[in-house]
Amino acid sequence: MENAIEIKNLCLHYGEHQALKNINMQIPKNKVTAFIGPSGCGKSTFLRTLNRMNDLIESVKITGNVLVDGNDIYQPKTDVVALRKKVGMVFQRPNPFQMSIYDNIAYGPKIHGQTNKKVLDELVETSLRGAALWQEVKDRLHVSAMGLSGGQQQRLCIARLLAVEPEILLMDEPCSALDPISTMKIEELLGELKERYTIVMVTHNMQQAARTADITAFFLLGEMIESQDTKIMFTNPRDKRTEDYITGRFG
Amino acid sequence: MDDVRANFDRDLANIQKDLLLMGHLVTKAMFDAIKALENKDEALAAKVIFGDATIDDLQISIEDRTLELIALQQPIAKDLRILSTALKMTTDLERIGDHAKKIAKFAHRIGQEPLIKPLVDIPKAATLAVKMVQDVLKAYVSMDAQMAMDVIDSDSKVDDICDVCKRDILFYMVQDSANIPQGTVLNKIIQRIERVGDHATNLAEWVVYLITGNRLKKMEDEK
Repeated sequence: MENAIEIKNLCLHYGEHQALKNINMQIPKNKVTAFIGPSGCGKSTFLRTLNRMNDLIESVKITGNVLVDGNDIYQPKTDVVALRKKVGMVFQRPNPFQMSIYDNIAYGPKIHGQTNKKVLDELVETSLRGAALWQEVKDRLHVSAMGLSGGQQQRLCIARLLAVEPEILLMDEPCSALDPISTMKIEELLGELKERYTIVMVTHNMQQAARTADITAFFLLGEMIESQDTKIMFTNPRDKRTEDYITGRFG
Repeated sequence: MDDVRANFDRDLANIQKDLLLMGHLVTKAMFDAIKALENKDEALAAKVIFGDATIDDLQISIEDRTLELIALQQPIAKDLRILSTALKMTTDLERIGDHAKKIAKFAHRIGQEPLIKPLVDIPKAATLAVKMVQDVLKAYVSMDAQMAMDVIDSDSKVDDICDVCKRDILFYMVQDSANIPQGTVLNKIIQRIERVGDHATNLAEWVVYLITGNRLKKMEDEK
């Protein structure tokens, strides 16, 4: 199995507080990898290290290596903008721009230099199709994205990400603000997206990890306790702490 | 506020407790059926026959509660194994109950007729098969995978005694055709005892799965 990301001895401190403790992990290409664990265990922090989103926080200190396609993203020469184009992120709450559906999608390619209207039109359509939103919005591409439902907005954010042609999609609790039907649509979408992209997702919903992820990793107090084939994780986990957490004995 | 996990634990424990009760009822039914045969006790045979309905009711109750917990609690890991094995184990236990009932019916059919041969091997095989079931239940309570594996090994002993017994009965039937009707019934009883051993083996395999999370056949293939 080819790896999209390789993490070696990764430690992260917020000032004096160590939030990630010596994480070693491989994230396989074209699979859905889910991170689970109680609040404050470091899973979202870890997700954000994968496209250097923590750079924006001043007191953060990171040691170890994160290799994306074999290149260490924490090397000084790394082009962070290019990295975040390659490794995009979807957030907990959908955050469309206050502009039309079309412009939301075209925004990324435009700032990366694409001005050809025909190319942009095509990009908008393929991105919306990729995010399973095209059929619902094709007749109102030029109305405000703010009028879409929460689930549609989240798929728009995914489409916006796809428009800049990333390789890896990071999703931080992408369904936590959505109703069950919208959640189901996003989950179905994950299955389609992994054919072309590598997906890494943080979720608090264990059933969601069980339903959608190929690999599940359990985090506790900044440590990665266990990373497993999802089927094994939810039927016969190796570590007692994992078993106790997923069966609701603590958390 | 109700503790959700504590309530779930209590429901799981009740299901396991009832599974053990079912195990106790079927082993008692087997003992009584054989005792009825040995002592020509038709009243005891009738008690076993009518008692089977209680075992069947218990099976349905365990299955209903298990399915309800699966639907409402979405169990995973060991919780899921406890519930899935409960579903499988009740089926085997219920079948053992059916075999006891059938043996009791055969005992009833033989009634006060003199036996064509002294009953030695049939009670011996039955005792061994019932002990297998009892040991599985002990392994279930103490979560002892090795004890469950030992049960699986002892199935061949039951089969051996049953084979000797069948040959013996055949000999009596060949000797005197008047022995054929009762010989046929005794043969059917032996087949039932053999099946009890097989169900005990199934039960043991489920106990191993419950404890280790691994299927025995797969473990053997991997060796």
